[in-house]
Amino acid sequence: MRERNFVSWLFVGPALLVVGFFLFYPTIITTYTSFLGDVSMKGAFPTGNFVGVQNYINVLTSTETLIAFRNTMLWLVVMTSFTVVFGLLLAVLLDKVNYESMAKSIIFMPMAVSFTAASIIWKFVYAYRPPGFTQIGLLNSLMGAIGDFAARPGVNAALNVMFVVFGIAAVVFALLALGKGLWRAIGIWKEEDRVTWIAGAVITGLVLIAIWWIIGFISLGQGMTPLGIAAQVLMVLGLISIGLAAVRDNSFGPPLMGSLLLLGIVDFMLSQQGFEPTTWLMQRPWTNNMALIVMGIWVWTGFAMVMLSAAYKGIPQSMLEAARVDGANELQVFWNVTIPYMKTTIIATTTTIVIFVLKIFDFIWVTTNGEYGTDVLASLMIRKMYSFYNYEAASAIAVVLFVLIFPFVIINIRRFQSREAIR
Amino acid sequence: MNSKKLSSILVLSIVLSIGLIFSGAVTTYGQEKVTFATSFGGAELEVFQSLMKQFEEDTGIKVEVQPVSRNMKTALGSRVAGGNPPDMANVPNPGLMKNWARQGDLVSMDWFKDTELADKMAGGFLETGTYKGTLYGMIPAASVKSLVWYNKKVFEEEGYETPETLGELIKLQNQMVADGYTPWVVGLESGGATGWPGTDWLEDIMLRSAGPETYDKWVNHDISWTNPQVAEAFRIFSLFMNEDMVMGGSKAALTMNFGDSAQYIIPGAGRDKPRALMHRQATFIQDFIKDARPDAKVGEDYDTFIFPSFGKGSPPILFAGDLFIAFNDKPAVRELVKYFAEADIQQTWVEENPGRLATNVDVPLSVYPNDTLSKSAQALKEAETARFDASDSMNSAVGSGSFFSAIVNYVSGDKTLSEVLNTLENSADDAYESGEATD
Repeated sequence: MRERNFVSWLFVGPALLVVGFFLFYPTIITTYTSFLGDVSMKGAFPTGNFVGVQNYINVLTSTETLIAFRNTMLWLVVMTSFTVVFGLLLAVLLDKVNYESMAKSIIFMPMAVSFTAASIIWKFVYAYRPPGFTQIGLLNSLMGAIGDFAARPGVNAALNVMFVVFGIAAVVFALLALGKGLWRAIGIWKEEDRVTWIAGAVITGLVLIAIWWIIGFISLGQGMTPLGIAAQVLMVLGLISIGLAAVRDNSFGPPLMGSLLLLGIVDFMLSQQGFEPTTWLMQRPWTNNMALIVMGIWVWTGFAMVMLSAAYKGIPQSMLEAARVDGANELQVFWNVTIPYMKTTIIATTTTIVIFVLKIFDFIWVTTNGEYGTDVLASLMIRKMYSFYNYEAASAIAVVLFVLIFPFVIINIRRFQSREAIR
Repeated sequence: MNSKKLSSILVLSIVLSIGLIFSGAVTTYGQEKVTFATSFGGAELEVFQSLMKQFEEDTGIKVEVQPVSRNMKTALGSRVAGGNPPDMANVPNPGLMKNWARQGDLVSMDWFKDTELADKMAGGFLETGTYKGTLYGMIPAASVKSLVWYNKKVFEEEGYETPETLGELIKLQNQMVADGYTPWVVGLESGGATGWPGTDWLEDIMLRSAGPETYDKWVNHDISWTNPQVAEAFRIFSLFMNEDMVMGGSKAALTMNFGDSAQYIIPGAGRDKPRALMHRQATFIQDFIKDARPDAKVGEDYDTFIFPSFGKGSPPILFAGDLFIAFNDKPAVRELVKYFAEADIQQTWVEENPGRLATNVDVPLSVYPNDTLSKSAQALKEAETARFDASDSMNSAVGSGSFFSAIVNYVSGDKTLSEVLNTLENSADDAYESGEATD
């Protein structure tokens, strides 16, 4: 037994040494540096005078780090939730089409581009030139073109008519769907599993509102026209009804969704009239941070999709069939069979993305360099280290980041170990 | 197996893996070989490599040119800190050279002062390469920064005179606005170094409004950033950099790349009037204008004047250049330094790489490809006052860190002037180890 122990040490030894040298040593040095003041990096060890937790107090109280904390939280919540939800939807929906592999390759492609290259691509998407110049930014020139198109007299009249038609259609379908949904809800209240029912309605409604909110975000800063406000009110009403209607396989669901989508497109086009080029990356604090987060979502959705798709394919078809035979509709199958089956993968994907989001700095470094209130913790750390030579502040931020990331690493390892144990 | 054997294998495996880790870092250099880390890229690098080839042929010394990024501070900094520097490098900023000199990473070049070549160097260049009385850097090529590029055709049509004083410049730009032109185009965007073109503006202003003595104190942090004279320079900057005087206002200035911006002084295809009339930038910008507007001719369509003096006398000159620094002292390194100080190699360099100006006074003005450049070379030779780019000379945490941010925050209006200056002063207090204003 003793000898066996020794042999295992022999195999682990070199790896342990390398890990120790490149992982533990820097971690310890960084933690040590974060308690020093007036640090000099000359020599093998950093030198300076011990200042206790002063660096942490500075880091946790200065405006720039508070902004970085806020942005990191924003990235964490928005980017993680959107990538996982989009990845899940794509994994499930693409499974049902026959061009699946092609669509998946295209969506996964941004993941193959280096983050720096992706940032440069998006820098051109958001590029700004003053009004009257040729817009070299994709977004500004696209929105400008849509605005010009919508402002043409003929097109404009047609769009206004369409807006009214789709608006009325949406209201009618929404009222019908709402009525029927509520009617059936009252009718089957006792026999249904209430919790599932309500949760399904609420979550579907929220997801759709979030999608509408993104569309709204794109047209942000263009001013609120009465038409726009009316459309948004309709939209919210419609979304609540959709949540109610779609859950019950309501026959008014699809036409309502269709008319709302068309209404949204028309409303968007109308609101782009007289579009002025926007400095997407300078409008603090929401527009620029959201614009940056969209870059992250663009890159990472493919990763979530591939992970979740693999899990989805692992669900035994017989289970899904059995649920369908028992009379469950697609949404119920998704909610009661698919999701529980995929739970472990969803958690693993989420924790992986959380770890990466906390470490993201490339997007910010390349596009805004952290100016205009877009710094996140990791980019601020890099800037403190290499731009300002403020080793102690950089080390303190690094330790804070490490502490934030650590629990997620533990979750991932635990999960991995428990899975190994089952085998 | 007995445990003795096993433990010896264990020890051996540990030793081997340590060896593997360090074998990458340890390389032995022959006496006749020089490794040279350079920040040059693109066409600049090609010319530089051809010059090195010439050096190899002439001397028989092998040179290994290692191109690293323009951001030498990050790219080379980690190698220097890790004890694995090249033999030589070129850095565009004396601030970085001083950092390394203070840490004892650089070798002295004082032997160069004893050569005949030292007397041939134009004024100010040896001082720029000196830190605490010891020479650490030799500048083989420079560029003049105090230039205003302007649309000559429009100037002639409208009868505008190139200004000689601050008052005339202000009057001129107001006249331009009255005539329906936009006086300036400014491009501050430069990726991770966004803001640096604004620091050049501020330095030119500071050199004139506060004078060279105060300018030196400012660089060394002998006066604080909250000094009224610094605030005054920022205020003068905003006489030019404001919504009325700059093409597209602050939004355009902050989002437009410095390289893209200069072309707007020449009308693009299908336009008969340029978007703006003047652009303040160093000699190198000519390459960018040529690329974007290949039909425009320097001297006919556009030309330069020196950013005017604020008082009486000839205007002071702000310049920049690449410092050759050495991490190891050996004969081959000395040969290379001397070689690049010679007039004929510098002449080849400025001929093949337009935009550069020789620092050896023996290089005749006639070698420059156009009037604009020879005028700049002459200005550099004859200037009563010449100073190296301040942001490059400052402690790099300030000069290429918080100073850049300050320009962005000031121009965008995100912070008030006093907030901007307080932030700068705090970062300078952290970064500087000397200077009378350092707390």
